[in-house]
Amino acid sequence: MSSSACETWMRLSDREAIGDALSDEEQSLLRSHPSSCAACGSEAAGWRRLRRALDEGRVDDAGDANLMDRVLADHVHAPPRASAPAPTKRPKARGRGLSTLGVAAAALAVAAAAVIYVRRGGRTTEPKPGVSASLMQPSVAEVTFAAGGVELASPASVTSVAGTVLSDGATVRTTTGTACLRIEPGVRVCLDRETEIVLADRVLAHRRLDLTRGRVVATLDPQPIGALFTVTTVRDTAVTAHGTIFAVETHDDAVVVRVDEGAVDVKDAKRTRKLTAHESLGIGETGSRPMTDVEEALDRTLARAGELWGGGPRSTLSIDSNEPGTLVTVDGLSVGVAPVSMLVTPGEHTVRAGDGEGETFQVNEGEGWSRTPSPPPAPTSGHRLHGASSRARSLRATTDRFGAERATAAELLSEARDLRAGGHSADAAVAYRELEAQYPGSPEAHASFVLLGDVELANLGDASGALRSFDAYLRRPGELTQEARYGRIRALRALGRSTDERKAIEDFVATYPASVQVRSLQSRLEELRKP
Amino acid sequence: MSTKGVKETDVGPDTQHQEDVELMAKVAAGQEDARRSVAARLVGRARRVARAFLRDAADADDAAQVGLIQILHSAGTYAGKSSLERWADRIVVRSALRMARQRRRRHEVTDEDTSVDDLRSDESGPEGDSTLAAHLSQLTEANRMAVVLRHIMEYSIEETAELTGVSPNTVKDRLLRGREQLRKLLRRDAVIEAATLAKPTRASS
Repeated sequence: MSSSACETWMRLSDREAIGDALSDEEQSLLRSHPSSCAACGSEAAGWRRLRRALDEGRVDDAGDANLMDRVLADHVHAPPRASAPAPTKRPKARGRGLSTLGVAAAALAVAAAAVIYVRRGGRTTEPKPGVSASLMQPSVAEVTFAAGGVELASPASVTSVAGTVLSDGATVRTTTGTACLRIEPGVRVCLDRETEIVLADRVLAHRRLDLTRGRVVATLDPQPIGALFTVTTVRDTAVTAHGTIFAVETHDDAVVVRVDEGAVDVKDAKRTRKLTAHESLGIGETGSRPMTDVEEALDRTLARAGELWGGGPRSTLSIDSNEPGTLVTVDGLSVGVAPVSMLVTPGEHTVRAGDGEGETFQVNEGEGWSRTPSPPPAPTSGHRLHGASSRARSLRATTDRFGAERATAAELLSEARDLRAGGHSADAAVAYRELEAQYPGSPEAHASFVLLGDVELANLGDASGALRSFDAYLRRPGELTQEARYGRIRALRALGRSTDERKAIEDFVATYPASVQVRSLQSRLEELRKP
Repeated sequence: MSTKGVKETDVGPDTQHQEDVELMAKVAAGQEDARRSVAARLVGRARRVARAFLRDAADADDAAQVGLIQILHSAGTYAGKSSLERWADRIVVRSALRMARQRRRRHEVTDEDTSVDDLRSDESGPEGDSTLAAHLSQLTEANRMAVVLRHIMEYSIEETAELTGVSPNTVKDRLLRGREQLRKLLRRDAVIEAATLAKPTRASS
C-alpha cells in the first residue's frame, strides 16, 4: 500500500475524530483502507480497542465492593434531592435533634458535614462475605452508661437510661454529664460533656452517628468485613479512619481527629492523609501533630466508661444522690457525677457516692440495683485542703484510699472537670490546684493551669487569679498556648488593663490570623484604638 | 462519532430506558434495594472511567466515590434520554476532571509543563488493556484528557470542550496532538508484532 494512501487515511481519521463532516467517498476510503494495509489496520484496531476499554476493563472486585460500601454509607447522609449537590460538599447537619430538643446549639457554625469512616483493618474475624444480607440488618444500639446531665430525644430519666434501645434518628445529648452507647457488634462510643449525637443509621454495612457538637471517643472490637461504622461531623471535609480507638471533636466550625490506636486516613475535599496512632489532625490544618499526653489521657478516660460493660449478661445499676454533683465511684473507678445509670456484668460490685462509705452488693443477671444514698455530714476533723469543700475532699480521699493505686493525673483531671461540670466551680478550682500540687510538671498539671484560669475567670470572677494561671501556663507554652493567650486577653479585659489587652490582642491576631476568635478580637481592637 | 457523543438532553426519551427511569425513581424515593442495585451496577464502570483520567488509583476511587454519590443524589433527574451508564458516566467524568484539576493545583503543575515521564503510571488508563493504558500514560495530561473523552468516552468535541473548560478549537488541537502521539505508539506496536511473528520459532519435539 502506498504511503500517500496511508497519509490520506490518517488525515481522514483525524478529521473524523475532530468532528469534521466527511463525504461518502471519504467515508468509504476510511472504512476500506485498513483492511488492505497492516499498519493502518493495526492503528484502526487500536482506536477500536480504546472504545471498548470501558466495557471490557475491570479493576478489582474487592475494590468495587469496598467503594460501594463507602458510597452507600455516604449517600444516606442526605435525603434525596431534586438537584445534584456539589460533589464534595456534604449536606448540612440535620437539625432534627436540635429542633426536637430545642438545644441551644444553633450557634454552632455548621458549614457542611465531615465524615469519618471507621473500619477495622487487618483484624477481621470472618472471611469476606461480600455485601451479604446479614450486613444489611440493623444493629442493636443502646445506651450503656449515663452520668450527670444526659438527655435522650425519647423520654427517659437519666436514672433509668442504661439499657435504653436506640432506633434510627435517636438523639443523645449530654449537658453536664457523659454517656456511652454500644452499637453491635463491638462498637462503643462515649460522649463527653456538651456533646450531641444522632444515631443516623444502624444497618451493619453503614452504621453511622452524626456528631453535631462536642467530643466522642469510639472503641471498636474486631469487625466483620463489610461492616462499616461512620461518624459524621460538621465540616466540609471527609475523613476516613481505620483504627481501634479514635476520637473526634468538633467545636464551632473546627474538627479534630485523634487516633489512639491503629491508623487513620483523613480525607477532605482536597486530599487524603494518613494518621497513625498517637497523632492528631485538625481539619484544615496542613499537617498532623503528635497527640499530647493530656489528650490521650482524656480520650482514654472518656472511653473507660464504655468498658464498664463488655456485652453479654447484664445487670443495671442506678445511683442517685440527694446532693447534686455527687461523685460516684463503682468498683473503685470514678464514673462521674450522680445520677448514674449503667449496665454492668452480673456479680459483686461496690458503689460509693460522695463521701459516703462504699456499699458492696451482689446483683444477678437481668436484675437491677439502685440507691439514692444520703451523703453523710461533713467530717469535723481530718486533713482539709486549702479552701476545699466536701467534694474536693472527696477527691483527695479517693486518692488516699487508693494508696498505691492512687488516682492518676488523668483521673484527677477528669474528676476536676466533673466538679466543674457539676456546678462546683470553687471545688473544681481547688481540684485543679491539687492536681498541680500532686503531679507538678505533668502534662495534666500543665494543662490544668488553663482550665483553672478559665474557671477562675468565667465562674469565680477572679480575673487576677485567672491571669496568674494563664501566665503560669505560658511560661512553658504547649498545646493549649492559643487558649491560654486568649484567656489572658479576657482576663486583662476584665481587669480593665486596656493597654496590656490591646498589646495582647495584637500579638494574638498576628500569631493566629486564622483562628475563630480573630474577628471578635479585631472588633475589640478597634474599640481600644478609639481615642 | 455516533449518537453516543451527543448530550443526553439532546436525545429524546427512549422507552428502552424506561426500566432504568423507574429504577432511579425508586432510588430518589429512598428505596434501599434500588439504591444498592444502582450502586452495584455502576461502581465498576465508575472506577474504570475515573482511572482513565487519574493516574493515582486512590484518587480515581475517590473521584468515582464522589461521582457515585452524586448519581444517587441526582437519581430523580434521570429522564431516560440516554442509557443509565451514559448518564452516569458524565457525572463521574466531571468528578474525575475536577479531581485532576485539584491534583494539578496542588502540585503546581500546568498542562503545558507536565513532562511525559511525570505522567507515566502503572495505575492509569483502562485496566482491561495494559498496552493501551501504558500508551495513554505517555501522553501529556491535556492531550490524554482529550483522547480519553473523545475516544473512550465518545463525547463530541463540544461536550469535551464543555467538560474540560476550553474552546472546541483547543480540544481539536489537543486531540490531534494526542492522536499523533498515540498513533506512533500503536504503529510501533504493529512493527514489533510483525517482527516477532516473523522470527523463526524453535520446533517442539
